[in-house]
Amino acid sequence: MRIAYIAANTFREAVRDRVLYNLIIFALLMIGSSLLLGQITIGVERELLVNLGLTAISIFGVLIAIFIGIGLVSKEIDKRTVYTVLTRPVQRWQFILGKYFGLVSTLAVNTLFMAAGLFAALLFVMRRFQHADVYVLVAIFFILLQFIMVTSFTMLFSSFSTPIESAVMAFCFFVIGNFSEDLRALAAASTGAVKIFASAAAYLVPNFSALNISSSVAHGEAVAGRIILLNTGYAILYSAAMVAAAALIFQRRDMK
Amino acid sequence: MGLVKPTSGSASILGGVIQDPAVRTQIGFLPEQPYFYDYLTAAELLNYYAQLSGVPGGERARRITATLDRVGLAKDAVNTQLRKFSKGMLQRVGIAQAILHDPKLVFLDEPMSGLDPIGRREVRDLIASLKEEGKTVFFSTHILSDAEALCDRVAIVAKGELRGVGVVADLTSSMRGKVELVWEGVQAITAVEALGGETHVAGEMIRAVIDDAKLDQAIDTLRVNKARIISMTPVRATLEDYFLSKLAQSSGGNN
Repeated sequence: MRIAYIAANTFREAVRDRVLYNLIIFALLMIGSSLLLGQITIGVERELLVNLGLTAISIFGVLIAIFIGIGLVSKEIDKRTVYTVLTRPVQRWQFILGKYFGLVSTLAVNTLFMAAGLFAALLFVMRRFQHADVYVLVAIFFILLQFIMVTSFTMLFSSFSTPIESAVMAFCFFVIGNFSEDLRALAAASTGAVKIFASAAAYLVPNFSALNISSSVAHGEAVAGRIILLNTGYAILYSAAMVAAAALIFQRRDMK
Repeated sequence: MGLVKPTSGSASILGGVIQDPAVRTQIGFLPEQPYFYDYLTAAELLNYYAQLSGVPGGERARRITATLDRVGLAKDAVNTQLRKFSKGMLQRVGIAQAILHDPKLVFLDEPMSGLDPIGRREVRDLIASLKEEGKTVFFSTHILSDAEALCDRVAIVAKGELRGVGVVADLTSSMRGKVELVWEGVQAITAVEALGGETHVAGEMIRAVIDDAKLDQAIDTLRVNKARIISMTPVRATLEDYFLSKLAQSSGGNN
């Protein structure tokens, strides 16, 4: 229960700090591009709009996940608000989990609004929904899974380094994660130390390649149910490991 | 309080080890120069803390109103975001969050700092009323008169070391046994100084503080020297004197 209270307070902080204002920019972007795409009728409107929308959702969310994620715990320590929380019957891991779920729910609500915006734009441009739109929803769900993972490793980084260092590391992790397929290919193709290093790195960084299906759903391709299940399981396990590591580090930390 | 890990040993409080979160339902804590979530209103902040401290849902609203009333936070400030609060108002909210869950033991770090004289008086009264309710209040202050007025027991810490601990009267009684003598007549100065009293001359008046045991001797000396005795006052030692004497001892020892 205490985890939920901490999460709710974190969510409220994000809302009051006007984090959701990014939705305005997103809305303007969707309105602008759909008006523009409404002018052309060469059969690629849907592909362009879905690609643009999904990319925007991803960028906004990752930015929020990293920039709020780096301060989730460190801000509480710097502002010394953590003193009045941890001196209550609250375990440190509960605090970490609460902060984590608070940001994740902020991202979820944010993504929900952006998804609604994208679908409104789709309806405006295409005049009707089609079956393939379901897979756009799946792509958005995968993007949300990425946010969950980005938040988890950002939190881990910020548990042992400064906010700026954490932001840099988190960005690197995010970018490398998008090339994780290449890392795997490198590991498979190489031998010796390179192989060991490449496969270790490939397992450590998040596998965002598998979660990035924007261009295929933009083409109207289907997504297998098995993939959805596997990706969801992977994202949850990966995030759980990262958050657990962050909690372990936080557990040992002295608050002075 | 669960903030700093012990390097060695263990500590227990109210019959439980300090690491046990359940013990902390019985403890209230006000950090020095507290900062709170400034995007919350006073009522929201207290609600959050009440939730974390395990105050039952049905009781929260009543508890919050009563506590805010008790620390004297104006009604119209209750639903204002804390970022608009003055330091004194924040200090009141800070005390409110420390006593909100009706703890048995309250730690207040510098509870009077940042308050105007009226505010300080109110906090003093509040601490006294908590004491009357049978709660243990543990507070730190550098205003020794506050400690002297409120505390049953005091501990003196200087340069990070414990210099003395005990009941206020016991601590200061070690300083008793001195009398302040004031007289007119410079001719007696040398004789009184011979008894161990340092003299201070102010116009016609001469003042000296001497040991109780030597009082009779000193009076005789003054009479012999034809001095006119103005007053004799037993010196009541304050906590401040005790503190200063402890400091002097320690710096003497270091040198």
